[in-house]
Amino acid sequence: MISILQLKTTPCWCGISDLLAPPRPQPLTPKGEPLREATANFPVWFPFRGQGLGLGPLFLFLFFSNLLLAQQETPLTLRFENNSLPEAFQKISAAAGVEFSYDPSVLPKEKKVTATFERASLRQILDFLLKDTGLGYVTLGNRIIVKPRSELEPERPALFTFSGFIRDSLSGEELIGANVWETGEGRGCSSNEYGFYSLTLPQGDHFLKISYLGYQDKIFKVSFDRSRRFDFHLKPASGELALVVVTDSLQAQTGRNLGEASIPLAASGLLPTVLGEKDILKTLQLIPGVSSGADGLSSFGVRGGSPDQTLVLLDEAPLYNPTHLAGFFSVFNTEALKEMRFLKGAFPAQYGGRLSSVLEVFMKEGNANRFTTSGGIGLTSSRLQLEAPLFDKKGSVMAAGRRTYLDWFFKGKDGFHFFDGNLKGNVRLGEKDRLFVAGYFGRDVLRAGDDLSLNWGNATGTLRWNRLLDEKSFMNTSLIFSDYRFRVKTEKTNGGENNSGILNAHLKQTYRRYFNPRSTLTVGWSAILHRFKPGEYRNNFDELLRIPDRNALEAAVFASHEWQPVPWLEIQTGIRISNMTLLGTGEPFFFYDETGAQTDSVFFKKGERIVNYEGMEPRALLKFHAGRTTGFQLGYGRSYQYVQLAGNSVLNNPIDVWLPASPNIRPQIADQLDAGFFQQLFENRWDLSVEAFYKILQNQIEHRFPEVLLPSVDIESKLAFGTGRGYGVEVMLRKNKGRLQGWLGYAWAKHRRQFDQLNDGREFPARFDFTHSISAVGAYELGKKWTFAAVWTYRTGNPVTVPVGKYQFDNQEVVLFGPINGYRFPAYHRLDFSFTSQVQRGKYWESNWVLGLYNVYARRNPVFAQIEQDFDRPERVKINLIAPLLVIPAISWEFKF
Amino acid sequence: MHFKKLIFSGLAASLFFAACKKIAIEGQELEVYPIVVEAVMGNLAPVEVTLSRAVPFSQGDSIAPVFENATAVVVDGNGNSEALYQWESGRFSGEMTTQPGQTYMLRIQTEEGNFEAMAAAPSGLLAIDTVTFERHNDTTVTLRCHLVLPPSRPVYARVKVFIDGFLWENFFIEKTLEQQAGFTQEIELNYILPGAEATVEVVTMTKPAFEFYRAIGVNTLGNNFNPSNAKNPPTNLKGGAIGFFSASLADTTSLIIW
Repeated sequence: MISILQLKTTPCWCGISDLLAPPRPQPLTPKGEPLREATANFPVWFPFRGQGLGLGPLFLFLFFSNLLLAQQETPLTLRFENNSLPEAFQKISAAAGVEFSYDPSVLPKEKKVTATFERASLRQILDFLLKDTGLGYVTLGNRIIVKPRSELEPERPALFTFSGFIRDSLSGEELIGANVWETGEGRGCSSNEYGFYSLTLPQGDHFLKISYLGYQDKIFKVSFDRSRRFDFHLKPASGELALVVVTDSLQAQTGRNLGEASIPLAASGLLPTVLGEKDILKTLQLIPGVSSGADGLSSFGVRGGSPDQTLVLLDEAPLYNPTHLAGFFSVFNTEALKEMRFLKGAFPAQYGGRLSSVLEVFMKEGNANRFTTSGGIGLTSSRLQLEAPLFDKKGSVMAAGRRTYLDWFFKGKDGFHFFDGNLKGNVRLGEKDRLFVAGYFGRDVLRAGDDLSLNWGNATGTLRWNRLLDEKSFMNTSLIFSDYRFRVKTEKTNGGENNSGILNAHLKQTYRRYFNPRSTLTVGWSAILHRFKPGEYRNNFDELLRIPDRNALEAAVFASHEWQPVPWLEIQTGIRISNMTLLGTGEPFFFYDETGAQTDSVFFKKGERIVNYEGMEPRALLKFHAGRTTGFQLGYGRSYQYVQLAGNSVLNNPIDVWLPASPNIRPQIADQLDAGFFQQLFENRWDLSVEAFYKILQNQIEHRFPEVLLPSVDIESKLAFGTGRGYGVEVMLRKNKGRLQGWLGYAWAKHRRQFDQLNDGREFPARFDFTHSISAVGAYELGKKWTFAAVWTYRTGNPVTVPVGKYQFDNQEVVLFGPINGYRFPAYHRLDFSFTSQVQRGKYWESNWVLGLYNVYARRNPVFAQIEQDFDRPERVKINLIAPLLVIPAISWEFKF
Repeated sequence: MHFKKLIFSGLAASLFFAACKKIAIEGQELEVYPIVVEAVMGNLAPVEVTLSRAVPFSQGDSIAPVFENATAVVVDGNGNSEALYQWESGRFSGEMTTQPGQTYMLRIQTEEGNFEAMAAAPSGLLAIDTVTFERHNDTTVTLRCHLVLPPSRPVYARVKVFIDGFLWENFFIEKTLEQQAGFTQEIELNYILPGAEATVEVVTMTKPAFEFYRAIGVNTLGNNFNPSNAKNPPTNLKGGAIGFFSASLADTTSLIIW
C-alpha cells in the first residue's frame, strides 16, 4: 500500500495509476520537445497542492467545467490516424497546451480514432473522442481529467419557482387555462381552474410568454433568482374574431388532452341560435360526438350516451336538469359565465360519477376594479348582469338575471315563462387565501288555465376556499348545495299536488402540487349526501301518498399524476376509488325480481345501510409529441355512475325521475379506450384532429313498458338492465387565423344496446345513435362593421320504433311494434345564419346588434311522430312525421357599460 | 287588448300547425310474424287459451288460423295437470281454475314451435263489498264501489264495468302502501238510461300481469304513440311467441240502475 506521503509531486499527464506506478518517461511533443510541466497553477491555499494533482480528480468535483472549458475554445486543427485514445490525448496536449489526467485502465484499449478536425474547439474534439466510451471529463485549469461518467457528478442548477394568478387587467378576473410558456427550453404550464399557476425553472433569466384566447399575448423577461409569488395581468384584445381557441404555445398546440373540446364562450355569441338566445349547450352540439335528441333542443348525448351520463357543473355544483322548457333553452346565462370546459373522454381522476362526459362551467367573479353592467334584449328574453368591486377592491361581486316574456302572448293564466339568476362574490383574505360564494336559482313556470300549473328548476350554492400552501402547492375546499325540484298541481276535484326532486350536500377538497414543469400531482376526496324525493302526492282532500325517499352517500378519493419524463412523452395516470351507500329512511324498501314482481319488503331504520357499492376507476393517458406540430395520444378510463335518470325520451322531461343505485339497480359502468392524432398545419393556421374511441357499458337502464315512466313506489320494478357498446371516429379540421375562422367536424359512430328482456334479447341501436354527423361552422369578418357566421349541421335521422302489424288480444286490436329503434327518421340537416355588428362605443358604453335566421332553407326536420290509422282504409296505419316549418328570425341588442 | 291577444295567439297557433308537414311512412313489415298466445285462468272462469298470429296492417283480418295439431297443457304447483280441449282451431279450454297463491305452468306445442309460461295467482282478492249509484241526470250516473283489500300488499287489479253486457269502463287500480282495509272507488258513467244493468267485475292479478294488460291498453290501435319509446309489452312466454299467460282472482256483482 502506498502511503499518501509517497505520492509523487512531479507533474505527469497520467492520472491515478501514475501515482502508484513508477515514473514513466516524460512524453514529448511530435517535435520531440518535452511537454510543459503540467504543474497545476493552483493558489497556495489550494488543498492537495503539495500532493500533486493525483488526488484532485478523485476528490474535487468541478462545477464550472463548462466555464473553464469555454476558455479552451481556441480552434484546433488536428488529424488522427488510427490513434488510440492515449495517442490522441498526446496530440491534443501538444496542440492545445493542455494536459490529461486519467487512469489508463478505464480507457477502451481497442478504440482507434481516425478523424480530421479543422478549426474545431477542444470541446468538440473531446466529445468526439469520448463518445460511446462511457467516459467524461472535467477541467481544472489547463488539466483535463478524464473519468467514467458515473464518477462525474453533474452540476445541479438551483431551481426556483414562480407562482401566482393570471388575471384580466381590467376586471381582475382570474383566467382559467392561460398558458405560461418559457420560450427558450419550451417548458411551461397552464393556470388551473382557479387561475393559479406554478412554474419551476433553473436559476437564470428566462423569457415567459403569457397567452390566453381573447387577450393580448405578453412576454416577460424574468430573473429566476429566488422563488416568489408573481401575478400576471393580461389585457383583453379588441377586434379579434374569437371563434376558436388559438394559442401558439407548444403545450396547447399538441398538448390538448384526448376528448377535450375547446370552444370559447364567445363563440356562442357569434354563432346563430334559435330565437337568438345565446346557448353554450347548442354550441357544444357542433362538436363531433355530441348530438341533440331533436331539433332545437339543448339537451344532448355524448358518444351515444344519454343526457344523464354527462356531469354538468356550475361552479362545482351539479345541475340535474340543465335546460329550460323541456330542453329548448339552457340554464346558462352567458352574461354570467367566464369559462367552460368540456371533456368527452379520458377525463382525469378528479371527475367521476358520470360515464360519458363532463361539462364544467365557471361563472364570472366580478370586476374587481370598477362597476360594470351588460345585458341584452332579444325576441324572447332579456338579460342583465352587474359587476362591482367589494371591500376596497379586495373582492368583487357579480349578479345576473334573465327572464323570458313568452307568457305575455297568452291570455289569462295560460302561459309559460322561465327565469334564472346568478350571483357570485369573492374576497381575498390575505396573500394566500381567497373565499368565494356562488349561487344559481332558476325556474320554469307553465300554466294552463286555472286547473293546471307546473313549476320546476334548479337552485345551487357553492362556498369555496382557495389556499396557496406554498409556491408549488394549491388547495381548494368546497361546500356545495344543489336542489332540483318539480311540482305539478291540478285544481280539479280529483286533483292534487305532486312534489318531487333531488337535494345534494357536497364537500370536497383538492390538493395540487406542481413539483416542476414536468411533474404535477393532484389528490383529493369528495363526499356527497343525496336525498331523492321521487314524489309526494297530496290530493285536494288533503290525503297524502308519499313515495319513500332515497338517501345515499357517495364518496370518492382520487389521485393523479402528470409527468413528462422526456420532452416528447407525457404520462398522465390516475386512480379514483368511489363508493356509494344507500341508506335507510325509516321506511320499507321493496326488492323486485327481473319480472318486476316484488320478492321482499324490508324495513330499514334511518341511516341504516341498505346496500353498498364500490368501484376502482383507473385513468391513463399517454401523449407523444412528434415534433412541435404533431401529437399522438392514447387513453383509457373506467367510470362508475351511481345516480341515473329513469327517463324515456330524448326530451329533458322535468318529471323524469333520478334514482340512486340500489339492490334493484346496479351502478352503471363504462370502460372507454381512446386514441387521437393531432396535427398543426401551415404554421398553426389550421389544425387537424382525429380521435377514435371504443366503449363498453354495463348495467344500462331502459324501461320495460311503453308508457311514460311516472314516479311511483315500484318505479324500480319497471326497469330493464342490459349492456351497451359504442365505437367511432371523430375528425375535426379547424381554421384558426384570418378573417375566416371556423371548423369542419365529422363523426362516424355506432352505439348498440342489448337487454335480455327487450327486443327478444337482440341488440338494437341506442337512442342517441347517429351514424354520421357533420358540422360546418364559419365566421367571416365583413369589413370592420359586421361579422357573418354560418352553421350547417347534418346527422343521420333519429332511430325510432315503428308499428309493423297488429294482433288481437283482450278483445282489442293491438299494435305490434318492430325491432326497437329499427327505423330511422329522414336525415336531419339545417343551415343557420347570423350577422353580428361590431361593437359601437360611446364614451361609457358599448353595444352591438345580432341578427339571425334559423333554418335558412326551410328544411322540414321531423320534431315528433304520430301513428294514425287511415280511416279510408282501416287496415292501414301511417306514421306521420310532424315537421313544422321552423324558419325563425332573431334580433337582439346587446350592451355593456 | 284581451281580444287582440286572443287573435294573435290563435293566428300564431294556426300558422304553426298549418305549416307542419306530415311525412307519411307506411309499409313497414316483418318477414315473419309471431304467434300470439292469450291464456287466462280465473277463479270464476276456467282456463282458456287462444292461439293466433300477428299480421301486417295490409292484411285485414288480424286473427290468423290454423293450429290443427297444436296441444296445450296446464300444470299446477301440486303437479296436477290438465290437457286442454281444442274446441276450435287455435282455441282451447279446460276446467282448472285459479286458487289463491298457486302457480301454474302452461305448455303449448305447435308445428311452428313450443311455448311455455309460468303464472302465479295472487294470494288475496280485492273483493267487492257494496256497489251503489247516484244519478245526476238522464244519462250520467256515478257508481260507488266499496272494495275490501286483502291483507297482503301490494294489490293490483283491473276493474271492468259492463252495461247490459257491453264493456263500458275499464281501468286499473294499484294499491301499494295503503294500510286501510278498504276504499271506495267512484266511477262516472255516461249515457246510462234508467233500467240498465251494470255489472262490475274486479280482477285481482299479479304485478307482471297487471303491467302487461296496462301496456296492452297503451298499445291499442287508435292511440297515439311516441316512436322514441314505443315497444311491445314484455311477455312471460318462452319460445318466441308474444302475449301473456295470467292467473287471476275475480269478484263480480250486478245491479240495475234507475
